[in-house]
Amino acid sequence: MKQKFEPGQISKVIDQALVYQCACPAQVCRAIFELRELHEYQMGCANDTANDVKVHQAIARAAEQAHTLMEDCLSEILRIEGWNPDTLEMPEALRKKSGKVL
Amino acid sequence: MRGTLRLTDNPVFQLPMPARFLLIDHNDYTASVLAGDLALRGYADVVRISGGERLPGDLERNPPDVVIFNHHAEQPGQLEACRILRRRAASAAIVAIVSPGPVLKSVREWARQSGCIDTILEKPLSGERFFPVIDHLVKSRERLRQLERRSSSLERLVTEPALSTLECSSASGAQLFEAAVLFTDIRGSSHLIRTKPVQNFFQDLNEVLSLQSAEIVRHEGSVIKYTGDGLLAVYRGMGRAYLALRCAISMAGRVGDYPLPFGVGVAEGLVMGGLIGDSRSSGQRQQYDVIGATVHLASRLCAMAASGEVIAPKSMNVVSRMHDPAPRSIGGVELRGFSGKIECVSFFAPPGGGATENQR
Repeated sequence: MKQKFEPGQISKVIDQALVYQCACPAQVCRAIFELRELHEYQMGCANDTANDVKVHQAIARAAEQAHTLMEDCLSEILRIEGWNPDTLEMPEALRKKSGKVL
Repeated sequence: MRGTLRLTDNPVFQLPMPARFLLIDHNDYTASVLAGDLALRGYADVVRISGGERLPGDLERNPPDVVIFNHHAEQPGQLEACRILRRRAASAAIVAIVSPGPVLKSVREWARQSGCIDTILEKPLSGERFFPVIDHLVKSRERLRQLERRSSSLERLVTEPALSTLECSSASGAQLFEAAVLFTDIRGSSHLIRTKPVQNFFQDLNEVLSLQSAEIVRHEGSVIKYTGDGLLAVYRGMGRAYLALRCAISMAGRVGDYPLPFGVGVAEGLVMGGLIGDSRSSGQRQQYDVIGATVHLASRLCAMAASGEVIAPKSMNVVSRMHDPAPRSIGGVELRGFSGKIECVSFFAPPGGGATENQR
């Protein structure tokens, strides 16, 4: 399965999002991880019958398609929100709270 | 659709109790989000640090109730802070907030192997998942503190053998074991009660029992119960006969320092110990006690002892070999409930505590 984002990049988006204000990109990131896990599981699942092979292939294919869609979606929403495409740093404008040290 | 739910959008509830938090997060922004939401929830005592290298110096003395570790995939090495915290603040609950995916798997594995994380929460957080966990941990810590306070109070009221028996699997905790038994009893208490004001007598009695109890603990014995104007103590394990006699002689030798006169009886042998009393209904009174011929013998010998005197079976001193003060044979003694005469010895320690500690 092709991957546009490295796991570390996706985790970085989630780590910055943490809660509420930026939870939507993080939800997409989470879906991407889940689709990757689903795909991996299907590829490793036992194929005892011809039907098993067909079932697993069908799910893996759908997972891959959904994964491509969600990665494209992530690219789009990060662009819309103004995240740095190279460093994947959250834009300052999204940080509604001041980053004071307690 | 933009997700605008804040952690604190949940109905605000009454803060159960003040709780201390330690927030570990190297990112200023996410740390401020977490600390701010905790404060809005009523958890205002939050100390934030950036990582393990800056853990507070007073962790052992003032451990936090809950540690919130915001894990960042970019800095996996900061997990070590949890290991240090587990060692230095063992009572604290450690919650890690972790990104899903491969990072979550590796942190779960690390937590399983190290045992240093109590709860892992997946990002992105929601108030529905985050605060119930935090509230539960805070309440658990408070309950634990209450139990520790109660346990500490009970330890002063319940004897160590009784506590051991309560932890025993059988209902009564009954045991048969070898022990040395020591009895003390005020001499002439009936007369003293009649001649002293009640308040004064009780004050003096408590002073005597307190001093005797301290002496027993100092000699590694356990006070089983107070018998009105005396006490019953047992000694178990290696050297029990020596320790019991040593203790008896030590306290009897200082009888002049006590506000009331007393005698001491000591015996050694098999003893039955366990809970006695009403065991049918929960909440009914039960108490730990020791019974058996050895207990009766120590009690009878105590009744014979004059003020400042220790009486013990001669056989007991054969084992203990106490020579200072020198034992005086009082011959065979006939005691109610015992067939035949029992050869006994008496010790009168010189005033001031008598014997030195190293004459076996």
